[in-house]
Amino acid sequence: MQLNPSEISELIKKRIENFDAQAEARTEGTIVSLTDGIIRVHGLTEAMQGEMLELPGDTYAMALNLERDSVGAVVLGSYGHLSEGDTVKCTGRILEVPTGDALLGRVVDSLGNPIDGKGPIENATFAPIEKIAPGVIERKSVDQPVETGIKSIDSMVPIGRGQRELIIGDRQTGKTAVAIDAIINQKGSGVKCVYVAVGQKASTIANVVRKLEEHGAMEHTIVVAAAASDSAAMQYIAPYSGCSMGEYYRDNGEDALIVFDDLTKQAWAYRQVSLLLRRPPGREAYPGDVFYLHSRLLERASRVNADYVEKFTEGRVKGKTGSLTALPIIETQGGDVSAFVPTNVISITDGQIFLESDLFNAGIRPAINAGLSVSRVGGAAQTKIIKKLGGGIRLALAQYRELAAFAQFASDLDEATRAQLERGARVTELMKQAQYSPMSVADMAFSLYAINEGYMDDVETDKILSFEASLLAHVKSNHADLLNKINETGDYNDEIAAEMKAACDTFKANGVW
Amino acid sequence: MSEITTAARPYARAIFELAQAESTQDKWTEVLALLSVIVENADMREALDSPKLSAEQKAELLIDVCNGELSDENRNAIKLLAENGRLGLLPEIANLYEAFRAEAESKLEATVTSAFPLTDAQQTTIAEALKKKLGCDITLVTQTDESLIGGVVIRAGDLVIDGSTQARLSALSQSLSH
Repeated sequence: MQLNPSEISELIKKRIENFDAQAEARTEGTIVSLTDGIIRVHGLTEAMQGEMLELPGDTYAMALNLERDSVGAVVLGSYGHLSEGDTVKCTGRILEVPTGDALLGRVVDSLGNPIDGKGPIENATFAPIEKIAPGVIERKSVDQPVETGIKSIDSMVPIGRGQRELIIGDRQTGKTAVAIDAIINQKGSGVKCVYVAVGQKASTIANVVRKLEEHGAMEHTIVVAAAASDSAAMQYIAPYSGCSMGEYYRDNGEDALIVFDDLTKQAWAYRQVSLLLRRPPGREAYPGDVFYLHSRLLERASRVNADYVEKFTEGRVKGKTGSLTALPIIETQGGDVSAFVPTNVISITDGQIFLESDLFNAGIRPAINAGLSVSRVGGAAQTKIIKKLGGGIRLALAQYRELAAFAQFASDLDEATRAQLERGARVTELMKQAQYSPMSVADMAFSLYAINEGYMDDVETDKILSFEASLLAHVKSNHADLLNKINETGDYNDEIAAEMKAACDTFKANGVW
Repeated sequence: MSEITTAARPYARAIFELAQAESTQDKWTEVLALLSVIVENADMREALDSPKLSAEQKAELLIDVCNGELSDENRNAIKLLAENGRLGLLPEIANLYEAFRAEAESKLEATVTSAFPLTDAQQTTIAEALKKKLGCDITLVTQTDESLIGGVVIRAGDLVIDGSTQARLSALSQSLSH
């Protein structure tokens, strides 16, 4: 039998002494029907929208449909023990989840209950899962970067703190891998991470958690898991729960990153709940409010100004802005971005990272389509040096794609076109990056500098990555000061350019790759 | 059940307003109670559900069973219900009618369940307290249930005031299990 740390006589004694049970007055109703986790309750005249309802056997439900003579609610968790005629009590509380630093490093379910066997969560504050996003006055524009450590993203589709950047693509194109790399790269940056897994296999979630642990990223990460076997209601609320946990940091003047993996499955779960509640189906059988489902969630990811933080913390935190960056993931079917949910989420977010299976299968990983991926606000937040050096990458890639398709038919090409093709092939090669190996700003800057200044032009295409690795190793051992300087300031000026040129020149003259 | 209530409400409201206008509330209470009992009888239910009988025949049958206790209005109401195929709603209509009546007369029936029989003084105290809280005349119905161990549970409509020892114990066990 497993014993809990809380099962110590002293503790139990204290809790019994402190226990205060008043006679409670609340409204009651009875379950009149129970279908697939949806209960209809007669009575409960004073139930609120979204209120937690107490059911027998320590189970709770959330009231979603308030009708004239009945209340429709979804059971949160298992409903095998419920039956018609059971009593339902109002609790007078909106659904709440624990928040705070105690959750870091933990794996919890949609209600914030720990499911990692590491004991109860102590000293947590509570926050409702549904909150209104900060208003116009309380916001601040995005001007600090979230470095994902992925060359192609940080140079072409930069993400700022407080931005919502969609990761979209077919199955098996590396969407989760991009998000996990971004989480791993936040180690030491002070950005807390929340990974919300919705409708995934429990084994996949366990793998992600293990990988995060291996790379030391669990210490700054909360994992909210609603696995495929959890009820649709749990999958539906999981992103909101995770968002409340992330908002805690935003509201306390810190920065947080939240990954919703993925919102397609959450929309499916919500569709199931809605249809069972007999709400009218619309396009693709989604209910009418499926846009609001995602817009109200993603709107909560924002950058807030110091006044908001000061007001929220009642003066405890002064002069600090807070942010919650969201990386929602959407899975498309056969590359179809014009389906209902993908178009919705594309229009809500501040840009998207578009991953393609063709590129993935061609070995270009991360399989980012440079033409379709955009970041609408990240440019303002990009580190100066990356902005300067990475500016040409996107254009070079886009032109290369166009020319490459065209050049397949043409036998002889002029010198300029050939040079452009050669450069494009090398940039494409350079943008490849192994999983779980995020790069620092300085490393990235050196790679970009080398390709921009033509140091890689005479390197064979399939040697580009080994050239890069050797170059970075050379710089690390001989120019560590320069790397530190770039990492700290992120500045780019003539002096730094000269130093970088010198480093590259010596490597090109003496190095092997 | 919710659909039943929704369907029964317009009838109950119409009957109640009619009764109020004609001051025949007590008569309607009696009749509706009687009709509910009759309709809930198994044989009667079978007859009323039978497709062989027409609506008029069902109405006549019901009126006959009541044996001349009915006024013209009562009979008309039964015929109307039969025509619309809503005779099965009579028990719910009776409930709703009583609810409307209680609301209009600001009366409320409260069920008090206790572990031990309550003394008259205790009952008066509870009734007084409830009257103050809910602002209407209270009719107390008492029950005993030993499983409560101690204290009382008061039910008035949807409102439940649970002051029983059993509820406190289960709350304690819940707080310890978290």
